[in-house]
Amino acid sequence: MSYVLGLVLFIVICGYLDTRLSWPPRPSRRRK
Amino acid sequence: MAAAAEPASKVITGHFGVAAGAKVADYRAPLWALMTATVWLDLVFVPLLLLNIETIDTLPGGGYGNRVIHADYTHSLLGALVLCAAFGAVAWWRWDRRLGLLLGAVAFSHWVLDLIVHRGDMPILPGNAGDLPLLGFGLWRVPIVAIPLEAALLLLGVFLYWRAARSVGPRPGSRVTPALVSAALLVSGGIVLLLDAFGL
Repeated sequence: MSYVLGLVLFIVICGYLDTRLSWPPRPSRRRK
Repeated sequence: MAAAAEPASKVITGHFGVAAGAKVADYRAPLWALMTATVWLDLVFVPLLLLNIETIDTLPGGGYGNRVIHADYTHSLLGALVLCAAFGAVAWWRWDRRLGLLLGAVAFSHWVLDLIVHRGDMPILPGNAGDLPLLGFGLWRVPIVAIPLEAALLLLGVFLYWRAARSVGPRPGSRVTPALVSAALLVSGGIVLLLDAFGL
């Protein structure tokens, strides 16, 4: 239970919250 | 005892603490990618566990770290290096070389942390080929040290994250602050570590 909860809390919730901060943009190497 | 449906009582909070702290290495690295990198070996481990290719033996009494984990492919030294290199290569392709190296290194930090706590169950070669000595310093035998170590990694990681986040602030129009994200990391880690400490 702790492992699944950890994945949800850290990756999904904290990961989403992190995207709401003004970090410098990431480069994109995808070819157009 | 046969494998459970999830890799219970593995290192969890410590890995996530390392990932949060790794943000200082490159502010462009998204936290979700760092968090995914730090559990990448376990994410590959889960389907192999479900297929009974890799297994967990629960030792008498159960509880925190009271397991021998036979992750002979995903957590072998060579297997981990290959998997982490693959993770880093995808990030390199998707973003750039620096982020690829960072995320590959964070992914491999999982193996290093596991090496400290595992009970001599980590092979050098996949499938324990060659029957070489198994690795693991066995800190799980001393939960009174292992649990505070995980807590310390979380605290250090969140502090480093908070310090980095404070320097950039929220996005325009966003109510999410560095303190809020740091608090979410801290509370998440606290909950998960508490559950893990009780073997849940």
